[in-house]
Amino acid sequence: MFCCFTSHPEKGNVQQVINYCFVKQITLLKMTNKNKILTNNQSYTITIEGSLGLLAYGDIGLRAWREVKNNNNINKIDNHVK
Amino acid sequence: MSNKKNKTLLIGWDAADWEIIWPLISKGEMPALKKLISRGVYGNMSTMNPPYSPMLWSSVATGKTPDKHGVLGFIELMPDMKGVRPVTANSRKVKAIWNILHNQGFKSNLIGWWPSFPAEPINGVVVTDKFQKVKADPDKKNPMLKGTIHPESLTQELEDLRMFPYEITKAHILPCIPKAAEIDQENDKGLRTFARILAENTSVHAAATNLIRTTKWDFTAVYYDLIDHFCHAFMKFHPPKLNAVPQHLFEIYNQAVVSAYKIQDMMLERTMSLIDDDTTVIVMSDHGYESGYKRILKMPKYPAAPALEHRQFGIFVAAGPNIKQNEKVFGLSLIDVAPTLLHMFDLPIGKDMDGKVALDIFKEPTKPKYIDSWETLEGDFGQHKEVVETDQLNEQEALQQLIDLGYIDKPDEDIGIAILKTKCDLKHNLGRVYLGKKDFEKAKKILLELINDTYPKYQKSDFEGEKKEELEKQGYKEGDSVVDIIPYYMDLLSISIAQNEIENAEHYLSQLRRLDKRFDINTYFSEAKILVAKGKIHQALKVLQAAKNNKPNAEVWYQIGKIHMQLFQFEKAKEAFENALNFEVDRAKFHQALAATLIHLKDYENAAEHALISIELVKYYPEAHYTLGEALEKLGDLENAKIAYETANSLKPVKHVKAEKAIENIDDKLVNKTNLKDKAVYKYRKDQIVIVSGLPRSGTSVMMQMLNKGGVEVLTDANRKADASNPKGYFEYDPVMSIHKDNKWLDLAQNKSVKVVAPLLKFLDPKYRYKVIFMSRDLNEIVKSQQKMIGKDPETLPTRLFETYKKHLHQVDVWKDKEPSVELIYVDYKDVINDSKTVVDKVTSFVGVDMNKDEMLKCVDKSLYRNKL
Repeated sequence: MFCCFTSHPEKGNVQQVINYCFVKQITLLKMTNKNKILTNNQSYTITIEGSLGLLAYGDIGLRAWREVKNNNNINKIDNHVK
Repeated sequence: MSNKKNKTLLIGWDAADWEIIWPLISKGEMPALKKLISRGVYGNMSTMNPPYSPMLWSSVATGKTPDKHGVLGFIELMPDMKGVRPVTANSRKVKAIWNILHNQGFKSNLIGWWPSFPAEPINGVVVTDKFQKVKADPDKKNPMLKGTIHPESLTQELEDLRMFPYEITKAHILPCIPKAAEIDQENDKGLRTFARILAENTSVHAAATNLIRTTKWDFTAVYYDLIDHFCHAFMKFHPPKLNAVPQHLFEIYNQAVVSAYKIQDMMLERTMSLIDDDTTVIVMSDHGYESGYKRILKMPKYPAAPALEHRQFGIFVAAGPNIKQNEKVFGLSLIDVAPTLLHMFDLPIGKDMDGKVALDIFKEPTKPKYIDSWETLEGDFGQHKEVVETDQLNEQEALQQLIDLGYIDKPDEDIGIAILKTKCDLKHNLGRVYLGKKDFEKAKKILLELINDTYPKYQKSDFEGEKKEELEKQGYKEGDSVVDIIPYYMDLLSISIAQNEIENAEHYLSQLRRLDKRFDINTYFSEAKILVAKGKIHQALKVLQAAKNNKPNAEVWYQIGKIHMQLFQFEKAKEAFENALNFEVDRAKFHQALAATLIHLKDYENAAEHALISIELVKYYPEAHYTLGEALEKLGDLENAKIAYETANSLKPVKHVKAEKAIENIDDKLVNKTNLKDKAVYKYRKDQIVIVSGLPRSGTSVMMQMLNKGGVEVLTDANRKADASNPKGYFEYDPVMSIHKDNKWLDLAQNKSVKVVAPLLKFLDPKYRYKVIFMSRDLNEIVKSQQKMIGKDPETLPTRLFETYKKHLHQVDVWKDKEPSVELIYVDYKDVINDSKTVVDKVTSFVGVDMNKDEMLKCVDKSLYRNKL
């Protein structure tokens, strides 16, 4: 099962949705008061705040999160410049 | 060399403990670990003493105890002797598993291992424990030190996988600390600690997942300290709430420890998704962590005191192609990991390794191969050719972390003192390693050197300026030695008690009490043991009961139970052991002690049950198997009793002499099943010692004389001359009177006879075989004879003496039934006089050698039968 990889950076949009292409089934446990298991074939919205699930995902999760944060910073600068 | 079947992933979760894990698994909150357990094996992992993590993880990596591998603490001396620093791989003196695998052509990844900096040049990738140590201040630079990563070419690629504490957001915090907004961050550093620990472990995990995904490897080892550091910071707030913990702090942090386990499980889930079923996975910890009533709120002030909260058993889980499925394994120790890994790679184990291959975990175990040592082999092992220097300035934050955890005091600003203290600490740790290995002589040598060395004292000038606060915080005052020698005395006290050197023990105890008490030392156990050794059992009991009334706990109840056992007060012993179990139900030794007590109370079924629980908790526990054997024997199940005794015998590192004798007795019983009640076997036993015993004035001297004349050599020093009470002599041997202190002379008594009065029988060493001829006599006659002997009125008989003697007789009867090495016949003094021939026949048959019966009969002098009733 896999999800499509698309990247949609939108100017002025502080959130980006990044879908990753995986060859194995993914399970992300979102740390809320209840453990929530997401089924496969779902996209996951990476927010600037990040999540424990992303950290648990390892190098890919950490880098993806940082990319979102960096892009958000770029957008802020662009908006500021404007 | 690479073989898909060998591929192994080793994951270290420092301080992970089954006591926290099982409830989480049952609630479905650790699904990754649960899946691994169901696919493989699980069990306890026994730690070592002292339980300091860098020492322990080095033992995991080398299969050797710290005296051999050389990593002896949290800090080490810098090579130029200009200071101290967190311990590095330079301290390790022997090869680790990855060095051996390098030599044999295998590829290894090593991430975060403690200690692993500076990175060794192995075939594979090393991301050392320096990688994740970053500065908390976002304005400060964090250059990667040379030696942090091998090969250095990967530095740029992996650098960005370090996470910084200031990156932690509320999305990370709130699931773990939901009431984080209520924290007073000016005064409470909890969130900073949380952020640092989580960031560091994320860095390790990111590097690990990257390397597992992107490199070819045969062996990968990853070390996480997430659980351990969360426990040190937050275990005091874990439920149930401790009385001294403020309610508002409990409500804020009470989920922190559990969240560490859940995060670790999430990381495991991801890691498992990156490997295939041909890879063997091991998840283990180096020790457990106290989460119950034994948690310490006020840490005593001596080095590495936080390790007091480390529990004896950590965890071990393994799954893979040749690993058994869904089975519990027993008896694993940290030093077994490296030998087991070597075996999995079909490599020989060094005979100089202290651990053994855990063959029990394999579906199809094969015979291990051995070589003398990997240390003596020539070749490239991916080791540093020389000691690698590091920059002291960069050590400061890492040192500060160890200080914050409480593992070390802030090193003295005076470099000389800092170096001296570190040297002493490392030396003491080596002493404690020997103590843990029960190599008491080596431990004593080190400890005596430490207490006899002279150390500088703190002067008035030391308490000026900034140093004042730090020194006072550590509890020092002017005139104190810079090196605290109290811990050395504590260990010397333990050793002297273990070696039964009571005078030394009393000396060390008095020294401990005399020295300035900068911290609480519970010495009541030592005091009680000394009193017991001196025969002052009732006083020992009083000490323990006072301690119990002050602060009841499992161990003090257990010690009280042991004393009641010695006093043959079995109902009270039973109550005490049951109280101990109420505190800690999973202590094998408590179940074993209760089982032994129940045997005395003739409750054999419950005895067997508790012995079985004990074995279930700790499979390789010779005493528990022995007690089970006793219970089964009493229940008439001789076949299984024999198996239990044989197991006890095979497990004991030295001969289990009681088990050996018990097995012989069972064999006799199995052959002569109708003779089940016969304690005496009428045959000679190799090297037997014939004991003539009884209460004083019960005819022991005449029996000694009969044996002597009959041809059995008597062990006597003839110091006590014949007199009116015993005209034909006493046949005594002076060392018998101090048998409770020293019974080594018993080897002289083999194939001879020796007189031992009744109260001293229990001090006989069970490694010998005894034929006890117990002289019985009417108690009134005995007391009368004694009164006359000491010049008192024989018609006035002290009743207290009767009670004492009755108690002695009962104790002998209990003792003889319990001791497999003892056979005993009762000989009535009246029968010696009136029916000598029958007595002589019985005695000679019992002793089992040819004796001159006529000469024996001549010894009986009816005129000496006085004080008869």
